[in-house]
Amino acid sequence: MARSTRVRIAELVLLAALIVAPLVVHDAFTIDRFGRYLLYAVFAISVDLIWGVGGVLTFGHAAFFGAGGYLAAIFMERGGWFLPLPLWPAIALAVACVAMFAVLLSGLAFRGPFPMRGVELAVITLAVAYLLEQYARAGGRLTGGQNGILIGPRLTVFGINVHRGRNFYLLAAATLIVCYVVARWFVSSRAGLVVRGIRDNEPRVDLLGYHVPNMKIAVFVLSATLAALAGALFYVHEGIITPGAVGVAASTQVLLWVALGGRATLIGPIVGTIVLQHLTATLSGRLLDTWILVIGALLIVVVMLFPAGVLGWLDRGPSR
Amino acid sequence: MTATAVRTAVVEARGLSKSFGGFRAVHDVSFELHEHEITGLVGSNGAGKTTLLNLIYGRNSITDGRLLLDGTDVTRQPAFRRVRRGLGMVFQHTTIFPTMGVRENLRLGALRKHPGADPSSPDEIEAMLERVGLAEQGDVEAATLSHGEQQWLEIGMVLLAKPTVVLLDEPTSGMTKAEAARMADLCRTLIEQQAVRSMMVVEHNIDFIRHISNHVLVMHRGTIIAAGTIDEVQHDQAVRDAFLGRQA
Amino acid sequence: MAQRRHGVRRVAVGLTATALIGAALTTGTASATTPATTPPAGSAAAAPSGDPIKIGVTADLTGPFTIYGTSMERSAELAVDEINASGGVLGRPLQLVVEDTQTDVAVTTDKARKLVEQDKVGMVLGPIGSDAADALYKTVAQDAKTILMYPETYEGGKCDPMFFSTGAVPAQQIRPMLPVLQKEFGPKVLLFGADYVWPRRSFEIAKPIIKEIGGELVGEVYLPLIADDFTELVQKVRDTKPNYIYTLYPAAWGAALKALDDAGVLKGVGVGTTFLGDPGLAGLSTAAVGTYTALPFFTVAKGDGVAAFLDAFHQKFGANEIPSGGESLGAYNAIHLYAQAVAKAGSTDPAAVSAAMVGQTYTSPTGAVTMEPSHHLTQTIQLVKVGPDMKHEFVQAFENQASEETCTS
Repeated sequence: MARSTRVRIAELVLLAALIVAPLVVHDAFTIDRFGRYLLYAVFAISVDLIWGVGGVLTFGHAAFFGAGGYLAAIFMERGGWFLPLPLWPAIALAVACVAMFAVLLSGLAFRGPFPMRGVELAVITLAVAYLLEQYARAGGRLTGGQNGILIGPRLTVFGINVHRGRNFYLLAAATLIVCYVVARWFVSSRAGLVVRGIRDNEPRVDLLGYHVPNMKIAVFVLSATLAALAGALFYVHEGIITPGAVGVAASTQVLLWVALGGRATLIGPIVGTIVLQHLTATLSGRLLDTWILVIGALLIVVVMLFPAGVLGWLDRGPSR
Repeated sequence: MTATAVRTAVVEARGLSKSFGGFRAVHDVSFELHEHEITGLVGSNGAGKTTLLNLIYGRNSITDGRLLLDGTDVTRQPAFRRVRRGLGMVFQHTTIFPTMGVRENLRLGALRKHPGADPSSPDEIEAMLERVGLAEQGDVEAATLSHGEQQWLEIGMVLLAKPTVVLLDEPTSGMTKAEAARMADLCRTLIEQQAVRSMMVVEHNIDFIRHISNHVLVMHRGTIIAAGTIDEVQHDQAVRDAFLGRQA
Repeated sequence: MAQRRHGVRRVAVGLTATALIGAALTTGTASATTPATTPPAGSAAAAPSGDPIKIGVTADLTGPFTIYGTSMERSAELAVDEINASGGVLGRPLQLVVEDTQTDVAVTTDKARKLVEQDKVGMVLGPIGSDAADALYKTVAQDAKTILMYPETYEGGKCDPMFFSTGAVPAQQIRPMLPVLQKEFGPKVLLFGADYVWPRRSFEIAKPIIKEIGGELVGEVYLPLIADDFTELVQKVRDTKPNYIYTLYPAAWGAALKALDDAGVLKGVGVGTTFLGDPGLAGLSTAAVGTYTALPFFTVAKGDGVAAFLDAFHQKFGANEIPSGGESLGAYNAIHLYAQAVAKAGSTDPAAVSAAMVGQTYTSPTGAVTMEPSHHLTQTIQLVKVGPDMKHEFVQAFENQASEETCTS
């Protein structure tokens, strides 16, 4: 079977699973929990775009996911000037601010006086997440310091409450599908082809006449924007956001989901996220002392046997 | 390809120099690459051939001198801008996209539109697959190709960008005699059909140069010590001195 | 051959992974209970029957707060064992449903929701961190209208019909401790805290108390939660020459202490804290000798039931295992108070239990405790001092310390 056919089948299976899940799972809590996974999956897709497709390893992507949440929370919960804003304007403005920040940051990183790549860039992203986490902790009234911001407004769409349970799941699933389609469109577009080329062989892309820094900025900003949207929805649903949201630990966790599912496959990270999240959530209640060992062992085994991730194996065949 | 016609310079180098610290790798090099002509660049290891190529395509910055591409000064332009002005670069150590398919490699070459050229169409991509002998391997991952096939793929990729001038660094290294002959054929055809306006070939293989070019530049210790037909430079006193070690 | 073996291995691993995932998915909705909650065999009282009364525990079993979360959860187990051994509540056994929060706020929220919505627990006990507590205060108490009992020492000020604190709050620690420090070192006090709500509110409460006892506040320093530069603190101590420092710098006290000691400004200056439990002493330099700490529990605490509590802990969890401190006693007390409140209310209806909880008294290992109308606990506070062997030495127990919280919900 051709790889494109296999991926298409995997997409259809996942889409069917997403649609069928709320019909077969009747427990409101479980379906709500899966909704959370789906927003995390959008986060994973955003990391896959920059890391898997673009080849730029980032240790700080929670900075964008968390900043989406923090800014939405600040716009809704803090007063003064034009604030507070209602739910959707707050989320839209938060996502726009993160996108602007991503433009500035990636512009500086890729087009600044000292263009960065590889390890340098990984260190920069790490530093950004670290600094944001520190700022969130020390941010006084604006960020609420260590204890973060409690978010009062609930998720609604056209007056329909989509804050919890099945409705929240549907909101999250719709967000995931839209973001997946956008990401898939990007990867198969001309720009996506060039970005994949940069991952494979950056000097050659340059010598085919493409503006490499601008292409990197494009994928970086798209990635940060998707992450911010998912983060804003996620933390409004949570009702609270704390400094850990923008931190290094959250940033490295998502790398595991992507690696496990399969880098550069887009669909792999979705599967990796849902499986790892659900295993962690359920095993950590069931095997109080040993769950972390079980998950760790599972990760090691998967990474050893499927270096390209489980879905990467499906995508590229067992030879890789 | 004689001096009778008015020869247009596609690439013009005027006093190019490059120093690394105190070391002058290339010193005061001037030459022209003319339309309808393949120029050979020869010289011993360490003569500065590779550095000169790097200066032309923009990997290394030019310390002194000027470089013109179709009459435009590109001395301070980054590599990708020179490429957009029509420069194509083929390396000795192939630089393809290993995890992508052969056809995808070619598509990447075809996407970028050069001034005055239409972007290559899907048909042209298929034709190029044929031309570089990879018609059967369009969907194969490029990393699985043999070294020779990868070289052909790189050439196809560069040609699809429709460059006006192509620089080739040791194109026949690692090739069999038959493959080298095919390569010489391709070079000649490209120039004859005016698909490419000018070429420069760095090569150790003098027989190959003799097949495709009657104009060579000889480099020694960072400078061009002789220019002309192969026969001319082979009888040049400076060249003989340089290669026999009798420094004048 | 190698290729083939590789394939077989891959299939085997794939099957194992599938089985694991399958197990987790299929059983994911069942309640996860710790086996340790079954009553000890051969207990004297009649075994309780009927549907268990479920209590959820959001415990930081992994991550930075492992030591406190584990101890909190174990102490809850001890209390549940005792209650079940003596017949349970309303003839029903208590059952703990434990979830690991990974010391992560988002996970804590998720686990608490699971406990409330899926396991339908009557009460949630936990967590440790004050950020996670804020999250559960909203998720469990305010949104889900389920009883939340928070066993950790905190800044106070939370006020909701469904929220109960069994840890210590600032006034009940500060009021007994400061006079002891003033008597030993002198009246001039410098306040040094991490820049967040616990230290800030504690110091606001400390200020009138300092005035009341005739002390003099010479300065106040706040640094980031984990600072890497203590110059400002050292300079402040040099400039203001306090007799003692009251500090709430829980995350990096070792580094701050070292900076002060290295600068030589600690000579003759006393130190008092309201956070330094037994585990907190590990890794401190000997400059910590003589430091006072006021908290509800230490292993050297005095009280009629302390020895029995420690014995039970050793017996169940191992001779080298000790309760970590205030959060352990807080969890133990919370379970007992909740059981009494359910018994009095005659049901697990949250509103009824909440109403019945206020005014409950019970004799804890360190002395009598009473749930105040403020939903905070009047309890015994233990004052200890670090000895030359870098272990806490008992100084004094202050019984019936009121929380001085003013919540009326």
